Parts: sequence; C-alpha cells; structure tokens
Amino acid sequence: MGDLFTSLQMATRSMAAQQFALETTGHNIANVNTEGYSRRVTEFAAVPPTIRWDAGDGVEVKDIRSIRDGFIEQRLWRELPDQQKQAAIADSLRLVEVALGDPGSSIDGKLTEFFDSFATLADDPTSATARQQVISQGQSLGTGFGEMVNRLRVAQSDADTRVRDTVDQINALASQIAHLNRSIANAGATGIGLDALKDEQGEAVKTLAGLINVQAMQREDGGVDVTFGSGRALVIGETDFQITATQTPPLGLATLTANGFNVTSEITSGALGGLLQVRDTAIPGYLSRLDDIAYTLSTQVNSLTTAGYDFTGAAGLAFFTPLGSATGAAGALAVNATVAADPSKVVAASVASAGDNAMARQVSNLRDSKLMLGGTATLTDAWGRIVYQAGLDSQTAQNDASLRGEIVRQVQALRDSVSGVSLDEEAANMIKFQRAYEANAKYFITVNTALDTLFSLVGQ
Amino acid sequence: MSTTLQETCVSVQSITDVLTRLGDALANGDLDGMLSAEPLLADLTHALQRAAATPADRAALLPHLTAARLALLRASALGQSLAQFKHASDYAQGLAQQYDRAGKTSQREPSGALRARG
Repeated sequence: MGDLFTSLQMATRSMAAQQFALETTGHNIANVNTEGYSRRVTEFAAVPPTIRWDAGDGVEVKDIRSIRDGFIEQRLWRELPDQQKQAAIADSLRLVEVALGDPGSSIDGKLTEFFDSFATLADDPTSATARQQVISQGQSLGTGFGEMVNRLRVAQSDADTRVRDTVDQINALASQIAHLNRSIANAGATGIGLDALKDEQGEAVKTLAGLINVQAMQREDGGVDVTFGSGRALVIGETDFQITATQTPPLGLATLTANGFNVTSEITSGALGGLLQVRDTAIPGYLSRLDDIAYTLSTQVNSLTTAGYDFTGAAGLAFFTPLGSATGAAGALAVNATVAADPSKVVAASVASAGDNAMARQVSNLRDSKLMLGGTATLTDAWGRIVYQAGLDSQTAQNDASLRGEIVRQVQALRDSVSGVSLDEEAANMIKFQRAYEANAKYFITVNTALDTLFSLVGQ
Repeated sequence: MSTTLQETCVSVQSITDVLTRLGDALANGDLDGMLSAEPLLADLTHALQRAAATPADRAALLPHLTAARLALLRASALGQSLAQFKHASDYAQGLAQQYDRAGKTSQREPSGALRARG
C-alpha cells in the first residue's frame, strides 16, 4: 500500500488526465465548423502499480486519436471524383445548350426558311426575286452552320481553359501534399501537431480526388503517396511530379503530359475527367453530327440542281460549293460563288424551259425526306436529335452529380438512424430497410422494360 | 393531345412521381416512405406495361420518358447503396461471415466497415 504522498501523486496525475480530456473536448467544440476536422478522443490508460498488492497508480492520458468514420469516408472517396466529373460536365454543357439555341430559331429555323424559299421559287419559277431569295436563304443557312460551329468551338475552348486551370490546381495540391508528407514525417517522432497535419493532409487529398482520379496509399511514416490514371506518380513521399499542359495543333487544345508521357486519355474522372470528356468527346460528337447534316444537305441539293437546268436553259450548277467529305462540312457550307453572283444560275427546272418548276419542287420536298440516321430522320429531325442529346447529356450529368452527393448523405442518414441502438435492433432495422427496398426493386426490371418499349415506339 | 397519348403521359408521369418519392425515402432512411411506395409502384407498373405510343408522340412523350428513366436510375443507385451499407453494417456486427466450400469467407470486408460503427 502506498503512502499519503503516493496517493496525492496518483490523484494529481488523474486530475491532470481529466483536465486534458476536457481541453480535448473544448478543442472539438471549437473546431465543430472546421472543414476536414476529425473529432479527437482522449484515450486513458491505467497506470500499473509499481509494487505487488497495490491497486494501481491511477490513470494517465495514453493517446489522442482522430475518429474517422471509415465507411462513410470510403463512400465519399468513391463518389466524390464522379460527382465532380458530372458537375463539370453539366457546367460545361450548359454553355453548349445555350450555343445550340432555342427550337425553331436555330439551324432548324434556317433549314425551314431555305426549303420555303425553294417552294416559293417553285410557285413562280420565273421570278427574279424568288431566285434572289433562294440565294439569300442558302447564304443565311451556310452562315448559320458556320456560326454554330464557332459557338461549339468557343464552348470547347472554354472547357480547355478550365482544363488548364484545373491542372494548375492539381499541381498546387500535389506540392502541398508533398510538403505535408515532410512535416508529418518530422512530427511523427514527437506526435506534436500530428492530428492537425493529418486533417490538412486528408482535406488536400479529398480536394485532389475531386479534381482527378487518384489513388492514395498511406505510408508507414504517416505520409501519403498519390498516383493518378494508370498508376502515374503525382506525389511520392516528399516529391511531387507535376502535370504539364501543352498547346497542341490543330486546334491548340492542351495535351496533358506527366514525366514525358501523354496522360490525357488516362484521366477519366474528377472535374478534370469531366472537362476532358466535354472537350474531347461530347462537343466533337455534336460537331460531327452537325457536319453530317451539312454534308447530306449539300450533296442532296447539289445532286438535284446538277441534274436540272437554270433560268437560261443551261445545265444546272451545284447550288452549294461541293464538299469533299463530311469532316468540316458545317464550317465550309456555302452557296456556290458562281450561283451567288448570278441569280439566273439558280436551278428550278428539270427540263430546259424557264417556266418549269419540277426541280425547285424536288429541292423543297427534301425537307420531308428521311435522309439522316439510316433513313429514320429528316434533316430537321437530325438537328433536333443533337439539341435533345445535348440537353439529355447535361441533365443526366446534373442528376448524376446530385445523386452521388445524395448517396453520401444517405449513408450518413442510415448511420444516424441505426447508431445508438443495440446491435440486435440495428440488425433488425437494417433488415427492414433492405426488405422494404427489395419489395420495390422487384418492379424495376419491368418498369425499365416498359420504358424501353415506349422509347422504341416513339423512335428514340 | 389524343386520349391514348394523354393516358400514356399520365402513366409515365405517375411512375416518375412514385420513383422520386421512393428515391427520397431511400435517401433519408425513411422506412415508412419505402413501404408506402410499394403498392403504388405495383399498380403503376401494370398500367405502364399497357401504355401505348407512336412516333408522332415523340415530342410530347420524350421528356416524360427521360424523367422516368432518371428517377428509376436514382432509386436503383440509392437502393444499391443501401444494400452496401447493410453489408457493411452486418460485417461490423460479425453477421456477414459465411464460408464457401473452400472454407474461406465468401463475403469480403467492405472498406472501412469495421470502423463504421457509430
């Protein structure tokens, strides 16, 4: 049994430990709104007795550790890169939607006006005004396609600018993490300030994961190694490896390299992955479909006008400047300069007679011909599909971004609803949740099939 | 709008509404909401199977169909997340260990599951 002095010493040590715990609680309360802060818990340990038959020497603080909710954190890590990717896609596609314009007042409106002008010419094939009107509408259509290409290129260029900005942010975060790795390794020996550094590290890696698809591996010294894409090094210990954005012809868009390797196609998620998808896949896809419309229009109209006759009875010329291929057709669509300079060269007749209107009628009828998408859509329908696809892509990205955030909140809500109850109750509650979901989910396949059928019935 | 088209639009809109409510219930851990969605979903699924449409209905119907598909994807994704959470919860309680013929555990530990207990 210890003496009075030992008892007092034990009491003092225990009071100091409790005081420390109170300070930790105060620290937790003070940081309740600090982003990335992890709640500290003071761990006590009994001080073993120094002599046999003694009750022990009270309590002392053994460790302060951060409590991280592993499952939710993992879920956050999994959802965040795709959430940020979809948010970036939605953001960039909003510009594209604006560029495509409103139904009836964009390419579809100009196509209608163009075919209307040939219908007017068919009504009065000798009218010089009608011929001039055909040329004007053809030029307006060509300008409309050209402006649309420019607007989509501006949206693509905007995405490229954001790609470069995001690369700068990634490089800055990589430097910060490398610096933190050094600080954590140094602090590891003493433990002083380690939790704060770890919080900062966690926050930096989380922000990075929102920007690019990274894999983070914990090091034994407490630091973290970060790779991206197909295992490319971004941070190894105290060294960071920067990503370089290099302007590349023909469009001057940035190609991303790391250690001399082109890594652009390896970046598939995070905000950077989303921006690259918009820049390199979505917008080029819309441009390609726009080219198809312009090319089909040009070749179909030209095949008719070259088979007809102009106002003087001469063999007809191509109405549009002939295009070599669909690539770049939308940007190059223009009325044949010879025709534009002389309205009498506009073809309305299928025979060498000034009063014949058969060819003008045939050109006008192209508006209702299903020339696009394997004979399933008119030129205007095909334009509508581009607008619909861009809207759908944008809406899907917005929904996906919000869904991924919702999943993280859902896991937290589920955790709150089952924590604090007994293990048996928790298991029972979870079974109820699962059964309730399964009862609904058994209809999902049928609903999906029915929707597929309706989509196919309306020709989507 | 023809009667058939109107009925189809209503049918698709109704299924979107119930799937959205189910998604909300899944997102908030609302058991009653999940349970109350089931009989509605059963009735509306049958109605949806009988729905008809033609290519002429495309413009009117497409926004409704797209909204329904998105609501279905949302409910499905939140349901899968719920199943994964249950698995993590089971594992944390030692309820998930089952052994296959080779004597190995047939279900892998979900990442962070053991630390997931609140």
